[in-house]
Amino acid sequence: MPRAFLEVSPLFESHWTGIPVVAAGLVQCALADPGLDWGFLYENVVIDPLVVTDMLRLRRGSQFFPHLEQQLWNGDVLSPGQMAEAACIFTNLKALRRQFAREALVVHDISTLLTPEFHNTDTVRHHANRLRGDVASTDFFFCVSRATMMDLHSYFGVPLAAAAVIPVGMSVDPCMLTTLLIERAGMSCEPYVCVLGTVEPRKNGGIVLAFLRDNPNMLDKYRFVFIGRDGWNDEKRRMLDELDRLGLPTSRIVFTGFVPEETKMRLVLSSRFCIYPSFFEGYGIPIAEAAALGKYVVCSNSSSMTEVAPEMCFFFDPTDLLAFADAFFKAELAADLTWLDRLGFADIAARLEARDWRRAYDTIRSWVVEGTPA
Amino acid sequence: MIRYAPAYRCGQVTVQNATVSGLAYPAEGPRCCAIELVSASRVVGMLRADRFSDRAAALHIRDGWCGFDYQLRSSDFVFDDTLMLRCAVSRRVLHVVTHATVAWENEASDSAARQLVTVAGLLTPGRTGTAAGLSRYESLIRRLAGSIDKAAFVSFAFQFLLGRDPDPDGRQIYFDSITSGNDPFSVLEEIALSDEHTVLRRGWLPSPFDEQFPAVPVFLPTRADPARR
Repeated sequence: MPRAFLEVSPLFESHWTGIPVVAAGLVQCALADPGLDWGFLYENVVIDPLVVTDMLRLRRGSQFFPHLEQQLWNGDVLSPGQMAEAACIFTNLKALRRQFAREALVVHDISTLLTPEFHNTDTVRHHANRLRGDVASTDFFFCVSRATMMDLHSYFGVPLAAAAVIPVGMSVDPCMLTTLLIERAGMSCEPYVCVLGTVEPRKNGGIVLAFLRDNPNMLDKYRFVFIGRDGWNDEKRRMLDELDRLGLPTSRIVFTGFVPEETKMRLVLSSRFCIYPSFFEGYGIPIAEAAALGKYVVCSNSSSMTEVAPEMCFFFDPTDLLAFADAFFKAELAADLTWLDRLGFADIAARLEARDWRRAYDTIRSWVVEGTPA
Repeated sequence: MIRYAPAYRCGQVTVQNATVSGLAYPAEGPRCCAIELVSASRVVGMLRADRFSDRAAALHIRDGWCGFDYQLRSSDFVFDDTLMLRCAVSRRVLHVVTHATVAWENEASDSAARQLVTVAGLLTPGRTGTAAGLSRYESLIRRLAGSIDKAAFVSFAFQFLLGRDPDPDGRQIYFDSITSGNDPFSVLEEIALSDEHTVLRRGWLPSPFDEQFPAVPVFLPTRADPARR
């Protein structure tokens, strides 16, 4: 049986969004694959699959750092000989280079280099200092979108033959979905719109406030709910100050902070529609999630976002307030005219099935086994 | 379907007041079972067999944590007059409910009966519980106390009841309490009486298979459990 490793250090994050979600999707498929002998790594430390399974259940991993200490103490570390005989997929950055027989890297985005103005200086330096080395030491690249693949090709000269797009999946617990749909059927909720994504400058939440400044009557009609953890550069404080300055009623705007998966899905399911105004994304998982639940998305047309769920999106230029307003009113009209926002279990399940992580996993598995992606 | 285990047994299934309930459990291992609701070959819903059941507790099955119940709706029978309950992993049929055998008079069909909910209500859904509910976890927690060290048990107690790590004082007080010979379960009972648990958490306790339940080896994995290779 072929031996391969997944380097899954993103799973040790305390809150899973973006990169850890992609890593988790691949890991759950790897755990269910009896035909490949997968090992799981944090850098070169071997992680017990029991711990990996617990992380998948809890959807967080920060409490498992003591396990790594224990593994180090036990000497459960890959030797150069073991590495030289196996392939390894790095699910984010590479802590090891040219150690394995073959090395592949999952590339999420290079936004720290392309849009450094939206990141902390430390983060930009961290990525800038290592990305070139990571690229130079990698045999194959799995990109989460075509936009990311083309960025890698354009800015790092990676040949397109050495890269493939992995169709990013979704992992929704059908039991949780059933419970939430039954709950939704038994209630009438006040009208509200969800603004999705971490609250940080790149997500462009400011355009929503600018829209509300010009259309304050929308706040009478809907509550605006920003769903996402507080990110960097103190964006939430800046937005609250802006709200204050504009004199908009803060009671009609809600910042939820980080919410568990169940709460996030409950909020999206009962919303009228969603907004994703980001300036730049490697993929845009929240767009896929909202679309699968039957929600129209007022969505930025930048970078990868047009690839995710165009059939459910009303696109706009993230720098153009008038275009945003136009897309907003179209989404409102579409939500009023259709019953898509009340999809039942079978319809949502079919949409989720089309976004199963196995499609991404099979691409990677094929590279591990046959040397080329599926 | 890595979250769930194949059903080893399913039994005691009853349909009363349009609610189907029963027990379903795996042979062993840390995961619970999930049951698909199938109507005319379509999966119309899925539920976990992760509820506490007095019947299962009396039979000493999974410390009681393998019950399921589901409020049937007439819309579940839109495609067919029968609703099949089957294991979501093995697809084995566990039970079949027919529309004609269900007492529908209690079904809430009037849309006016819908509860009006605000965004704040969605953020803090109506999870309620009581400290008395802790007794349901007693056998499971006593077993756990015997299998992990005292410091880990104190961390578990805080995570389980308060959803956070212990503060330094709390960690020391309860560690000393257990070390001096006090019953570990009484530590949980004491924390469960705190305002933080009863007011902030509203006495809510997660099922042992819930995402909110701390990562501790409650139902130990075995070689027979393929996801735990």
